[in-house]
Amino acid sequence: MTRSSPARAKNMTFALAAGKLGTLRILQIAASAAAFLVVVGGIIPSGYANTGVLGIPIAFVLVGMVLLVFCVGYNAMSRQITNAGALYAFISAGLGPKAGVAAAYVAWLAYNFFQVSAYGLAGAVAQSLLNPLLGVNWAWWAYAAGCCGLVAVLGLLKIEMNASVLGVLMLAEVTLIIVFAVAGLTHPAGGVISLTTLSPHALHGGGIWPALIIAITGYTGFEGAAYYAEEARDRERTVPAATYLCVVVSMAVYAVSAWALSVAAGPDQIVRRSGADGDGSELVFNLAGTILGPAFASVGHVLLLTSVFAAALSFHNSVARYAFALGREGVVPRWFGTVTARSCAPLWGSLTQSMIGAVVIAGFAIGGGDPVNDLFYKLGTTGGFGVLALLALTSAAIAAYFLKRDAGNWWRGVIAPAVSAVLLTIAGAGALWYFPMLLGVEPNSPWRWILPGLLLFVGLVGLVRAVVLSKTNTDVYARIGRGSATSSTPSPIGALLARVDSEDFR
Amino acid sequence: MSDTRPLPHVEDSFYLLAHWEDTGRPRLSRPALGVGLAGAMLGELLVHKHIRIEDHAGVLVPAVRDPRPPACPLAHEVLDQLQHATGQSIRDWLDFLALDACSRVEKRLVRADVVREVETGLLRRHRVYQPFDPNESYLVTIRVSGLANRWEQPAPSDALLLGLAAETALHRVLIQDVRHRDAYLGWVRANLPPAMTCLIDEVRALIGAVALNRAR
Repeated sequence: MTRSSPARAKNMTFALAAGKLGTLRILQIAASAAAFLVVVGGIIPSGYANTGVLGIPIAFVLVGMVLLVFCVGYNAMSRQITNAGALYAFISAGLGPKAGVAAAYVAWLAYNFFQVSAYGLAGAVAQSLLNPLLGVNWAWWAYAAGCCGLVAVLGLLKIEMNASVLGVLMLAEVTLIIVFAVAGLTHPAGGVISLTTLSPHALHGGGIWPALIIAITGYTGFEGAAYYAEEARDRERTVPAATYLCVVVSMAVYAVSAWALSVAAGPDQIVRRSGADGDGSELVFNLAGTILGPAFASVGHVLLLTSVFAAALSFHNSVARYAFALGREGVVPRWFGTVTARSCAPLWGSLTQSMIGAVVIAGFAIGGGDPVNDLFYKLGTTGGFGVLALLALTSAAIAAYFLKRDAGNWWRGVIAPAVSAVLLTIAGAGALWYFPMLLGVEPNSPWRWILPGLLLFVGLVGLVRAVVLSKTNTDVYARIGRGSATSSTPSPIGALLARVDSEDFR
Repeated sequence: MSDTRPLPHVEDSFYLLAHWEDTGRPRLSRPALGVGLAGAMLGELLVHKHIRIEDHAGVLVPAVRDPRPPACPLAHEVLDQLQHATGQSIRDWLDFLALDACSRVEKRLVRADVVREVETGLLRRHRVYQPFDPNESYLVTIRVSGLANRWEQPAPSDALLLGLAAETALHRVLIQDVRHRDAYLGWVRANLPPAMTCLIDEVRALIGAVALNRAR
């Protein structure tokens, strides 16, 4: 994006305002992480298959409503605090630096889960799309490793997918989803449009809790709009508008397409066909191919691949930025706060993320894990659970922040955040209880504790780090959550300036 | 080294340091180069005591201390701008000056016959500013890295250059040994005048914003 020359600008304010991000651009950035087609083609079928819950569409509506309430306080807070790691900064401001650092570590791991899980879907989709085209029989992990390598290079070069290309792809994705949804609803299995998956009864037997996590996994990315508040054209309006729009558009797309999928496959068949014994991650494209023809399915495959790649790159850059921001604040080792000279990209944030991706792909390749059901779905939904916990904590922090100050508008500052904190906490507790159902494992499987336990473990590591900082480095501790874009050197500027006028330069 | 020639302008030195000596291709991203050059522009005025930094209720603001025109036309222009728009923070000034700092310095270096404009790339669509004499560019690196090797207290303008290089990751070009580099730059930083420390801190913050932001 080019910025206007000061020579042409009327004044400094005008010149600096040029090149700022508008609502649609921020919406596009947030939605590129949300990746509509990845959710519709990957998360929703995997959700049906692993949980056996029919109420996925209604879960998207319920979570969307709760998130709209969450956004009320979130947007009020983003007007007060600007930080590239908004969730952790908000938690620091509301509940104190110790909770903030613990949250920062959890956020880092949760977004990491999302990022590396994308390689599983990318590998599987690329395998089914490219192997026949190239006449080869390469394993999914070869494609995943290629995707990881490409993301690593682009991340270090700070190359993001071109805004216009991303916009066109996103528009194509949404169009494809709408066409599929209309086709699915007009070609119902058994000739009758079933409302079974929209009924609250579809969430019986504890099914509501895993379904809520699947839904929140789909929405993840909407919170990203606030990360760009500093770059927004009008912080007061642009960021809230983009956040609300992202939730509303996602809710419509996901709920309708999840319903259409169940109608097209048949509510009694959707769980079986979504599983590995049925069509698996190919379900959407197989249904689309049957109803709309094979060309449509092929276009869908290509778009899913570009969508998952865009999501992997977007999450890679987000996690790298997150690590950079934490490094600059001294919350993680400071070398995470270094940049590359040539591209000004977060050097170690990006490299570390690429190494983690490579190790995870290698682990799943050696261990023989399934790329979609294990790597993509299980890690992705665990990341979703982490984000749910963070959103609950953020809501509580926002309410605490405005309670300590003049809330101004009580609905925005206290009531809405408190309501969303309670609802999200209930959802999180329920999901933890039904975690085996979410993962699709036996109730006595160790994974039901290992995966959420990892989030708890890094949270505790963060807490210990914060306690150590509070004892050993009070300057860094005092600056936690203030943002990496603020000057982060430990020297107190105010004290320095007291001497400015009295000292010369030699 | 017993070179008695006056030190070149910090902007020029920073620009040359930020480009490969033989080809003129950039070592630094364009936004980071802009921020570094903007820091150099304000730093020059600070070093020559034309401005000072004031604390306006927690906001750092550059204020004109000596309105007499500096000998350097570019510094004169910047001082003029500072006089006509008072009350803006250093961060805003750095952001504002960074918008066209590169082209301003490039024009000056072209006029001074230090670099020449060369079109490169397949379709000749890219422009680089190639040094006429690569040795002139190498001299900047040699002079500043020599200070580090001899552990010498740098002159204020070189201290500014070192500070800017450290914040834009160019210090890796100057000093190869990581431990020596960290120790020397830490020592230089600790001995910087307070106002210069504030300026470098703001450059650091803006480089952080460049790394985090999508619009740049």
